[in-house]
Amino acid sequence: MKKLVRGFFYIFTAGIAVSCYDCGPQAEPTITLSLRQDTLQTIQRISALDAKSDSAFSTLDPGSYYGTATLPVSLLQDSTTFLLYAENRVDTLTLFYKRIFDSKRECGYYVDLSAPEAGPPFKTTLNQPVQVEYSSYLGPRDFKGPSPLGIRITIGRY
Amino acid sequence: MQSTFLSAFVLSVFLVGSVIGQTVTVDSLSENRAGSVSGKEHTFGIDVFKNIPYLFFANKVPLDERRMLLTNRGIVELTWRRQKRERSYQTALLGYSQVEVVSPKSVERRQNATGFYAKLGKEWSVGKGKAQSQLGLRAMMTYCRYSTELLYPGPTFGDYKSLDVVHNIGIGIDPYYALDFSLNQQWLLRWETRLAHHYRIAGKGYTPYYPGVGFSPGLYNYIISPGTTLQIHYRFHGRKAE
Repeated sequence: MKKLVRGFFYIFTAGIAVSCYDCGPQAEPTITLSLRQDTLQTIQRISALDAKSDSAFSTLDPGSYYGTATLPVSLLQDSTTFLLYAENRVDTLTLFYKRIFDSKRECGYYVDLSAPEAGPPFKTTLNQPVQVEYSSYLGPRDFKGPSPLGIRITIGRY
Repeated sequence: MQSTFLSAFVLSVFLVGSVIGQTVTVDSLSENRAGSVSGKEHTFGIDVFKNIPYLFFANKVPLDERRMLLTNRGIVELTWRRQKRERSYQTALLGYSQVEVVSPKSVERRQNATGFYAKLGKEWSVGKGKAQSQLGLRAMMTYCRYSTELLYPGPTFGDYKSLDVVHNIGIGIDPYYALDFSLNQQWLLRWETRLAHHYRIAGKGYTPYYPGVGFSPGLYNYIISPGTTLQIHYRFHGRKAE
């Protein structure tokens, strides 16, 4: 009887654990692009090579100190090249990553992105410093904390 | 996980035990079977029911609030029983099963499962005098190939499509209760109800339908599934008339 009760307890606990697990996107993932104040003044529009549609590229928020944009990345290859339009020039920023397609008990099938196994994380024609941080799109969601963050790119000086 | 497995096993034995209590009074269905001990019989049987309910739905059964469609399901099961003692039998079952699981709004757009399974065990006649009520326990081994068409929508750069093939191997136990109805001296109709417990020892991914076990949505390595069916058996060494 003790084992039976313990079994139900495990099932109940597992149910709670599963409900608090963020399984990430079930489609094209997005990255967060942060532009520091100096860069924000120059970049007016963002697009990407091989994009079938520009509608997913959100406009920057000029009201905040940091301009942020949520940008989709390609699942068809291990890199995405963003086009950064300024007044008189277009710069490119190519982000490299490794796609992970797999399944796990908490989620079933999922997609995740991680840092490339070899080579640089990015390539750019920008003059400003670029910083790329990789973090999984999946993970346990703490009641107090944020969801898993995914990839973040920061352009510009502090 | 071992504790969960054991707990579920205890629960199933408990459930089967409660079924035994309901069956003692059904003995009048084949009284002439009382003389069966004069010759040790063995029977070959085939499942005649598992495909029938699906045919009523044109083999397309909506499940999980219509988010999932079970289609093209087919099952072939052959069984064999050999009498060991007056009230006990050895049993064996070989099966093949295939099914397609279609989920139009999920990443797993289409899953094609095919599998083979073998079950070996023993059964005992229960009840007083008349011996058509059987309680059995089979050990099972399964192989199941799950081929999953994946589609991750890509509205900006294009959809990502791939095919994921997983080979699963599992073991389990299959406690069951069966009622035998003698149709004549050669033919026997068996109504069998079981509660399969199955643990995957190789493979991964969710298996909404597992060959040899049944429909088991939401369960992962350890799955449990009830089922009931009809089998027709032919006696090769039938009982002798008294």
